[in-house]
This record gives sequence, structure tokens and C-alpha cells, in this order.
Amino acid sequence: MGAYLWQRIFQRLFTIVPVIFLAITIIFFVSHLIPGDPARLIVGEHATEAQVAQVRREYNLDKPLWEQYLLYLRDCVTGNFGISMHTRRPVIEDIKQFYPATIELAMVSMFIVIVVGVPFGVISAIKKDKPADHAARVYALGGVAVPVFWLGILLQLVLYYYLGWLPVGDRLTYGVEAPGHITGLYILDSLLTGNWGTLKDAIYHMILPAAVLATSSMSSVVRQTRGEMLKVLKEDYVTFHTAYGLPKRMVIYKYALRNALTPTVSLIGLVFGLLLGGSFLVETVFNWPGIGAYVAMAVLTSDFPAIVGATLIVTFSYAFVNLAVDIAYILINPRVRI
Amino acid sequence: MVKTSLRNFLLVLVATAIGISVVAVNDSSAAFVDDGKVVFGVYTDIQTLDPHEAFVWYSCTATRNSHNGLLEYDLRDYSIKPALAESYTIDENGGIFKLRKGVKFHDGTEFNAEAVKFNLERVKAINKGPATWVKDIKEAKVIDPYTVRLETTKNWAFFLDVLAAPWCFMMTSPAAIKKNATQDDPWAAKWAHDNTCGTGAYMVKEWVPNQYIKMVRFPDYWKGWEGKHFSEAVYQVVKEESTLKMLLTKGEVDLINQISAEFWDLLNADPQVRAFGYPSFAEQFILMNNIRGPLTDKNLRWAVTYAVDYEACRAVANATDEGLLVGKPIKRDIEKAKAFKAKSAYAGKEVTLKLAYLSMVENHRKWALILQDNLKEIGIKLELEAMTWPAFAKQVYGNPEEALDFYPFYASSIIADPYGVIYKVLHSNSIQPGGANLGYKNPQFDALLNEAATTIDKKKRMALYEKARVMPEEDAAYLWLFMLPYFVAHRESVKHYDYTKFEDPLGNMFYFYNYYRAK
Repeated sequence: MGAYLWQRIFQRLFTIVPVIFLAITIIFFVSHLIPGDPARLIVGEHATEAQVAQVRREYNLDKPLWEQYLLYLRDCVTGNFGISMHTRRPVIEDIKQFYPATIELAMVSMFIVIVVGVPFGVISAIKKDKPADHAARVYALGGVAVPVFWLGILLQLVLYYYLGWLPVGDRLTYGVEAPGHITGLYILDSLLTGNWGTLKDAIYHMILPAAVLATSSMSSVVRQTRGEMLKVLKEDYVTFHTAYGLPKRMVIYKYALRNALTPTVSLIGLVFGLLLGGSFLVETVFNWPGIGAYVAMAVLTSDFPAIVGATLIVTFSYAFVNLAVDIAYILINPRVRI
Repeated sequence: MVKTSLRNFLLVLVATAIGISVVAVNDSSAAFVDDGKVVFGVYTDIQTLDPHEAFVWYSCTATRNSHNGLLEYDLRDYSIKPALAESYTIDENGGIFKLRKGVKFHDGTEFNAEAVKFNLERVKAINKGPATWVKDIKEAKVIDPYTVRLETTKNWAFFLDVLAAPWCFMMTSPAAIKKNATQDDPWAAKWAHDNTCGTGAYMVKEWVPNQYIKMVRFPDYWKGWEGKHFSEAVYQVVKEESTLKMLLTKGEVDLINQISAEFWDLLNADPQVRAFGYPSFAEQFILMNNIRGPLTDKNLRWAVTYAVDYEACRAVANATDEGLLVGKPIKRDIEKAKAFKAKSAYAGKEVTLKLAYLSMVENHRKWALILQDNLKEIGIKLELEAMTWPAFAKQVYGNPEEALDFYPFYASSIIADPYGVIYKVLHSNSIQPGGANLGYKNPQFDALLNEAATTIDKKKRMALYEKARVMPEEDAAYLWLFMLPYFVAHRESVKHYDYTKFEDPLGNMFYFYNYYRAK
């Protein structure tokens, strides 16, 4: 399995190169199709044509599109995504600033989804048509149906406004010093630097947004796990193991779940990839300074360098998550050959 | 009609001045009393801290608290008063400014005439928004260390206004700029984007993008710190309106200046919070295309003008028809509208027109629907096109020959004078890309406005505006909705030293130095 695994990883890494190249090309041309004149937006009203022309020169907007594209490709290779037209900072600096917040939120949400969603799905399947199953199904349906921004505001109202148990948003309480920058993930950085006060505050601020973000994804995972478990539980080998007198727990978790998990892992990878793109609504409601809000603002202001740069980084992440899913497939079920 | 409007404007000014009750708490003999922290909640993060680049109000709120200009507006009546310049004399080609001695930048260096010269050179070299307004200041001549002459390119009515406006010509430390300059960046634009070194009351200590800006008191501020003041001011970014409302009512945010009208009653139900709107210097229009399509027909424009339900449009924004500086609001009269349509080249025909609006602004959508409904009554079919900001900006600032027939547009003024709005919307120089004039061209109107721009006397200037504005009104050049109400909500505990209200009709900004917390 080891040799196959490494071969698979290298193959995947090679395929990422054309994927990224294609992504740059598509994103570059699509973002430049958005109507409007970003140079005019930057200089603002009353600006003279000379000022607008200066900005066009600064951002290469005065050159033909194909030339802008080639210049952009050249800059990308050197890790230079240009200067954001809206924040006026290098895009790479903006990404370093905002992306860790999104990654942290996505990882904690995924943690919740996995440790809560998968057992819920299993329980729902083995207690089919019993109260626990009904409760899980109602939750699964509700989680998909309820808009996340509405749920977020509702929880803020109850847990922050009326009960005062949790903060309304942000990554840290104002005045609490951020941990030293190692990864940009506050929880991890606080742990690594032994900054326990900040760790507590970071977790405290993470609970609400992560729980809300996890809700809809968790519903899908519960439904998927339940469905697969029900299918697998009817398989001959499960009946065989049960008839053999193996403990029920072993049959469910060692034999049935392992087989039922494959599509769930695929779903988790997909959901995690989406979360890494940033959830604009959750980030807005909870004032979470992530990449979702950054990209949304970039699109609204035709901030080409920011749109292309941020999307590129998210594409990278997505590709690596897919690679991780492939590895997980092989580890969960060694017979799998993708 | 015209005289009445001018009288109303003057009455508003006088009434404002009389209505202001000075809260006598600033005992100059008292020492500094630390009132702790004030938190200003805002939707959008600033774009830059560089005062020579910042030009939108949300960026300027930060730069205005850390920088000063030579002059400043007295917010009570928008008269101009000295700031870093102690006194001045002006003539037809500029003015001489005696500078205040002992003023320090945040790095401890001294403010002087050389600093004024350096800052003028820097604004022009950076060449962003503020440079547009400073372009008519030709050069700064140092007469002695505390006297500087600013030469203008022409006899310019708004010379002092530009020096007093909180976004055109702010002073930053030449020493700090030189220290952080590089060969590629001789004016230290990169450094100044994230750092400040002005003469203002507060120094920017920390800016965490999309989260907050922390400002702390500058102990050597030239106005002194006697009495109660906040030692820390926080510019807190809160993107969601309902979150902002919760933070204000819980007391975690002290000041807000943007929130939908529908929240006012909810906020005012809390005895600890006060919320209100007030007319600003900005005017809300729905502009009509005078240069292309069916609306080049004056009778059709009049038909549209009388068909619109202005009261319904104002109700959408909690606005009234009060506050118009020059001109007179029109009232809906459907019979007159039909009569004008009958006189137009489109009598008895159905006309199809298009309206562009900004998709992210809910009021735009509501006005568009009101107009669509109103115009149907006179046989005009209105098609609506929702646009993102870049596409909409192209409508507004692009070539009017390519613009649609209508779009909502609010024109704010850079200076405390109606010229900014009238010029932008109606002067023929604003027809070209970059202006907001949707094709209105009247040489007589232009001549009057040009004369106003060189008339130093404010009363005479106002009379010229009154005379000029009658012309586009008679030509039905646009639909005037209201003076845009600015919004303020604050904790009752936060008070202003000079005003019973927190009004700043020009910038809708907060100058944290002027506030304190009542016990």
C-alpha cells in the first residue's frame, strides 16, 4: 500500500500544476469580464483623466488584456499577486492576514462536523425509526433548511444579547493580545506559545461561528452516514459477523462503519474545500475577518488582483484537500484503487 | 420662490447657531480627566491611513482624528476658523498664513512653514483624491519659519474651504516621511498607508485590517487636554447591521453613523441610546439622461417630473423635503404629467425607458419600483437594471451617451458649499467621463456657476446659485428627491462638548477629541 500511496500522491501533485494554470486563466479572464472601470473607482469622484490614466498604468489596465494576462502569469510565478485596488496593500499580505482566520474557522467547524455528525448518523441508522433516529432526521432536515445568517443572528440574540454567555463575534476580545504569529491560527499559535489567556479567549470566540458554520454541513454528513450505514447494515458480511456472535459494537464500528465511511469522507472533503473558500455570511454576521468577506468586497469593487489572488489560493487549498481525501480513502479501505 | 429658499437656508444657519447649547463642562483650568475608551462602530474598514490618499469619509474619520489642516470648519455654522494656521490674509492670488508655534507632530518634530511646503509637494506627488482639490494651489513659499504663502492659480472662492475641509490638505510629519522613504517610494506611500504621524489629537497605535483601529491620546496635542476626554478611541469594524445594533444597546459600541432607518425606533426604545437623522449637504437625485434617447424631449422630462411620487420616495429613506439649500421641491401632479406627455413627441405612444440602480442598495430598488409604478400611469414602461458598483459607477462617471435613461445618484459636497453638488450634477464640464452630469448643457447656467466660483463673498455667491439653479429646474433636468439624511446613534452617556446634537452635515464624522462620557 505504501508504494501505491506515494505514487498516488506524486501523481496528484503533478495534476495540480495544470489545474492551477487553468484556474488562473479562467479566473483572470472571467474577473476582467465584470463590467465597470476599477481605475475610476480607485481615484474617486472629481478625479481628472490624468489621474485615472496614472492608476491604469499602475495596474497595467492600459495594456491589452492578453498582455495583462502574461504579466500576471509572470508575477504569479514569483509569488507576486499585485496590489489590491481596494485595500491598497499587496494581495499576498491581505491573504496572509485574512486566510488563517478562515482556515481556523473551517478546521474547527469540520472537527465539530466529524465528531458529532458521524456518530449521529450511525446512531440514527442503528436506531432506525426510533426517537433518536427521528430527532437526527429532523435536525438533518432543519440544518439544511435554516439559513446560516438567520441561525447566527438568532444565536447571537440568545447567547450574547440575553444570556451574555458568549461574545457576539470577532476572533479575540478587544484588548486581548493576539498570540505571536506562527501559523496565524490563534488557537494553535496560543498553544504553541503557551499563551493560555489568549487560548481561552480564542476558543470562547470560536464557539458560535464554528457551531453555526458546522450546522448545515453536519446535516449533510448525518444524512449521508445514516444512508450508507443502513445500506451496509443489510450486507451479507454484517449479517455473517453478527451471526458469528461478534459484539455488536465491533460489527458496527469495525466492519460496517469503515465501509460506510467512504462516501462520507468524500462529502467531508467537498464540504471542507467549500468552507476554505470562506463563508461570507457567517464571516459577516460574526465579524470574522476571513477570506470570504475579503473576496466578496473584491468582487463588488472589481478588485482584479484580489479576486484572482484569493481565488488562486483557495484553488490550491481545494486541490490539497482532494489529495488528502484520496489518501484517506486508501487508509480507510486499502482495497480502494482510485 | 428663489428668495424663499435662500431665506430658508440662512434661517437654518441662524437657527442652528441659536439652537446650539454650549455644554459648559470644559473647565480650562482643570487637568486632564481620563474618560477611558470610546468605541465607534462602522461597517467598512478604512482603505488607507495616508491623509494624502484617503478621500472617502470612512477613511477620513480615522485620518481626521490624527491629522490637522491649516484651517478647520466650525461645525456649528460652517464658518472657517484657524487650526494649524493662527491667522491669515488672502488676496486674489492666494494668501499668507501665520502658523501656530509650538505645534508638534506625533514623532516630536516641529510643525513649521517648511512642513507646509513639503506636504503640498507630497499631496501633488501622490496624486490621488485630495490632489484633485489641491491642484489650484500652485506652490507654497516659505517666508519665515512660521509664515507661508500659498499661491493659487486663479482667484478662487473655495481656497479657504479646501484648506478647512477635513480631507484635502492635512499635515503629516516630513521627518517621518523622509525616514521611511525608499528609492522606489520617495514619498513613503507604503509606510504612510499603515502608519500615521500627524499633529492630531490621537495617534494610531494599531490597525488590524477588517477588525479595528486603536488610537491613543497624543499628550502634546496643540489644543491641550484640559477637562474630560477619552484617552483611547477605537474604530471597530462590524459588518452586520443587527450585530452593530446589539453592540450599541449592550454598551460595547458608543457611536454609530450608519444604520437603516427601520432600526431607529428600536434603538430609541432603549433609554440608554439615542438615534436620529439630520439633513446633510448631500442631495439625493434620480438623474435623467438629457443627452440621449426620449428624455431629450423637454416635455417628456416634465411629464416624468410631475408623475413621480416624491413623498413615497422620501418615506423609503425617512427623509423630508426640508433642507434644500437652493431651489424648490416639486410635488406630484398626475394631470400635469399627462398634459406634458400629450405635448411631447411621444403623445399617445408607449415609451420604454431604462433605469439603472445599485443592487446592494435597498433604497435604490424601492425608488426604482416606485418610479416604475408611477410612470406606468402616463404610458411609460420603465425597465429596471440592477448593477454592481463597478458597473453602476460606469453609468455615473462614464460617457453619458452610453448611460441609461435614469439612475439614482446622491451628490455629496467636498466643501461646505452648494457648489460641489451643483457643479457635479449640472455644469457642462461634468458631462465628460468623470463627471456626474447626465447631459444638461446651458451656457447661461455655466456662466453663473463660473462667476460663483470666483466670488469670495458667500452671500453674493449664494444669490448666484439661486439664480443659476432656476434654469435646470425649468428645464426639468433631474428629479430631486431630498437632502440625504445622515444618521447618528450613540449611547446617552457619550456627550459632545459643544453641541446638543452630534451633527456634521458635511462629513458625518466624529472628532473623538470633542467627546466625553457623562457619569
